[in-house]
Amino acid sequence: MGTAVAAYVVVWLFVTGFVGWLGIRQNQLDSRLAELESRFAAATRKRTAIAGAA
Amino acid sequence: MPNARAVHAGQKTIWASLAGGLMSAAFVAIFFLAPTEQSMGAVQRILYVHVSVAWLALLGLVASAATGCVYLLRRDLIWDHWSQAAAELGWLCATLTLVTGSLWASEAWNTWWTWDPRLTTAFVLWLIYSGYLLIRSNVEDPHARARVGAVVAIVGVLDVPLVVMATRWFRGIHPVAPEMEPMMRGVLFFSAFSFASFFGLLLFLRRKQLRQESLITALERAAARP
Repeated sequence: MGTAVAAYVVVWLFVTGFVGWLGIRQNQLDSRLAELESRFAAATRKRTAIAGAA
Repeated sequence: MPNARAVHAGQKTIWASLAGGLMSAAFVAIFFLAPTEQSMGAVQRILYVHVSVAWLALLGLVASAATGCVYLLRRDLIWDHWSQAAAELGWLCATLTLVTGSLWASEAWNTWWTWDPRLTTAFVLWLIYSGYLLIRSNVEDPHARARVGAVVAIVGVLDVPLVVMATRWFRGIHPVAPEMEPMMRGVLFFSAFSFASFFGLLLFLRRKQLRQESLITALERAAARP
């Protein structure tokens, strides 16, 4: 029974590892997206201010 | 009224719960419902996961090559995202096939590895997946990467019939298609279905993530332009 359980534990570890890796990638993408959003928001504010001043 | 992001998160939770529930049910069926095989004992229970992931590993390369083909015809990166996601999950399944097979062989054949035709062609399949992912990681341009990936997957898919037919065409020690009790067969198909559902969900999630990554990279490039 030990070997069979070991096989399923290995499968569980690999699958969990893959899901964890997906989660880390998603986190990285979310922070890249947040960074882009703040850059675009800053650029829009600047453009509005320039248009207002003109 | 709920926004689109909340609806998507809700749908994702429902699908994840369904796939997780199926996987749990499969594990219960494997360990508590399937009868113990007389000659091999409990170690035979490895078969249920080994065969399931092996089928998915083969299916993954076929899917990767098919979507690669569509990319070559349409030049739309969305198909390359499908191809890459299928190859990544296929690599995972191929790795699990080798690891679980090796654990089974250590008990059944008293060795971790032997150059049996089925084992050798399965190892070649793993090498093809690894090569595919390695080559892709070294190409910067998305369309060049997609082209190279499609070609590797299409050439690599030629190994699939060899893996399937290896036990029939060549002499070896790997079991061909062992006789099974109806309950064992039922548990095998149920676990294959459960694994397929779970990996199918991961495939969709990874494909979506790749699409998002490609859009963010394009936006970053646009933002970097003076």
